Amino acid sequence: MTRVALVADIARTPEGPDAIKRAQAGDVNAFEQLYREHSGRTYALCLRLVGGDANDATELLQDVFIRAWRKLDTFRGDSAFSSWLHRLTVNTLLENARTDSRRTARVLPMDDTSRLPGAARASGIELKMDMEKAIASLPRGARLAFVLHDVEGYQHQEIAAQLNVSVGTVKAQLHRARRLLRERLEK
Amino acid sequence: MRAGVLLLALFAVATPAWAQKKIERKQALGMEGAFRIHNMVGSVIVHGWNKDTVLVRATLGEGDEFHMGGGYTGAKMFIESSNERNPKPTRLEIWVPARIRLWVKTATANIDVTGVTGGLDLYTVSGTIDVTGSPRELNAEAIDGDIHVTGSPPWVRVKSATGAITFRGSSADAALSTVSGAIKIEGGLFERARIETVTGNITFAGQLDRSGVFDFDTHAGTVDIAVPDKTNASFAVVTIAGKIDNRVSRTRALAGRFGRGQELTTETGGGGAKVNVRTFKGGVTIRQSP
Amino acid sequence: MTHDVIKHLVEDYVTGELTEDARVPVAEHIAGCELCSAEVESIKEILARASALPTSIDPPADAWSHIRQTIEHDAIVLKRAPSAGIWWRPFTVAAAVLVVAAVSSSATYLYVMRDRGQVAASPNAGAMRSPGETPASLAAFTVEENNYLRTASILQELLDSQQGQLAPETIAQLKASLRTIDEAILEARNALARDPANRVLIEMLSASYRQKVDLLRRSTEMTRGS
Repeated sequence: MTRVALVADIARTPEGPDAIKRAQAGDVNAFEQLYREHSGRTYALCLRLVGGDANDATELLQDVFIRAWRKLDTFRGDSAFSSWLHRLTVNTLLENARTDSRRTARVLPMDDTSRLPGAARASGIELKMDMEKAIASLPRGARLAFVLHDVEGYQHQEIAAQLNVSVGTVKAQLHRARRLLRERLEK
Repeated sequence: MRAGVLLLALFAVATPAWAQKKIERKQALGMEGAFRIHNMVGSVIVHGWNKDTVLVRATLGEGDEFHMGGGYTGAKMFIESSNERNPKPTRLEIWVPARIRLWVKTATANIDVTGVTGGLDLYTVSGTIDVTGSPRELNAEAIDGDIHVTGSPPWVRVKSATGAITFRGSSADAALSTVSGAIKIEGGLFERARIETVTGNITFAGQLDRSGVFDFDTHAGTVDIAVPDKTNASFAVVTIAGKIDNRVSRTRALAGRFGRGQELTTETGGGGAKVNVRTFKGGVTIRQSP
Repeated sequence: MTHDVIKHLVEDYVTGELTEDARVPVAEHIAGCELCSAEVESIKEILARASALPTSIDPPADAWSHIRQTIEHDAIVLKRAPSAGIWWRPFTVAAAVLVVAAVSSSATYLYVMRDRGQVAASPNAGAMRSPGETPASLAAFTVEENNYLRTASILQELLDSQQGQLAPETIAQLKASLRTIDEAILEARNALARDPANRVLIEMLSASYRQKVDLLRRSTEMTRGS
């Protein structure tokens, strides 16, 4: 590697581009490194998008990473890898929902805690568990809007583009989600 | 005359002391940041410590330059050689925040890392790699260098071609692979392991978690598995042209297909860990550790 | 603005989406309205709880193994090397020539076997098997084998072009390792020719090919950074 290339490289995130490039060249171990780095965040997103079912979330996670491997050549580095993966997760969810109605997220009854992450955990995080349950109980459109906007931090326009709906619809779903959450959490 | 000979002898030393340059550099680096080290020739010694700072002490060859830069979340260093075709050795001793992700690449420089608990990615062509401690992830690769690990990294991927690998410790998920280098594992508890060579001999003297899965594959190397008494494990061994020596149970190995090679299925302690051994012609011994 | 109008703007007020013109009267109203004040606090609490959710949740430990199995057996793994990824760009022309030269499986086979004066028969390709399964038959494995050979051939040529960057001792060690693997492949291949339904042999051969491709890839990666 020339000095110029290394000096130019100094400002960038050190390990990211290397593991990605190796994975793009077919190195499965490098891809595994990317999985280790990003699977936690991706799984959290999957779990909330599918409505709390751990099996559905795991299937979605696996679909996402298999697709990521197959489409890795299309990652050009013009956004963070995590953002690229994030968009892929939402797209995979939507495509799976179109092709398999069974995967359309079920509404989780408020008292069914068995399928949520850490259901057996100590009560010290009950507060957060109530919130997860409440999000899982939202109708699908409202849940997607809430998770993407208020949990993940995306803008209305970005969400509208990804879900292929209008900004107005996103805002309405978001409003509905927040209203339902307030009602359910106040009980 | 004598003084002249002595002077000549001094000049003949490969890296005369006055031509080397000692430097010391510091850089702030977050406790969970990332740091990359390039040093082709010489040595790289890294210690993990409890400060959000990288400290580098380097002894450079004449004309070589040290470069380091980056920010609080990530930084790198490399040596710019005055003669790229024949670089002089650089000795590096570096202190880094213990929890960082560390990446090191060398050609022939040895790599020695102690006390880093974050992630390690270590690459060398023919240097040796020594890791002491328990990084949460360890990835180490060499072509003809040996690799030694002493500690309990939960996740391990180690590869060499002709170098030997020795692992003293335990791991939840270990994959070790060589072509002709020997692989030797001893010590603690393993939950999942994949050990693979082409002709290198494999020696395993660790403990098998009863719910674990273990794969040993070699073409022509020998496989020697020594497990403690009362280990709960099921063994499935097959060799196309080699021999199986079972010393953990009374089950005899059966002749393989067409009378060549052997196969063995047996268990100890009522079964538990799944141990699969496959060789083409390497001999397999399963015994109790002393 | 009346309460009936403002109550619909409270949410946008909390999330900062009101224009400056609207924000001031809404803020003034909220300051004096218990209902709207309570609404503001309630919305803020929801948003705070949303922000406090864990950003990362560990997936099941065995999730990766299914992914790995799928991608390792995915034909795309083996076809990736000749495609125009970033890594290959400088070598596209040379690689394209090699791919054309290597398309004929007999030519590819000869590349591997040339030093030994032996060529084992290469059965015709059978149907592609599904990801995650060991090839159930020799015919199915041959498709995978041809892919390995093609990838190994391209990587070998790449490594040959980079040899000036490696020390002679390292080149010698590398060649010795590749010869060791090739001999293992030949032995397993000959055994398989005598016992074509032997799945263990197919798995062993597959493992040897993977090791060869992995060693070649690692070696080319080493020289890229030096």
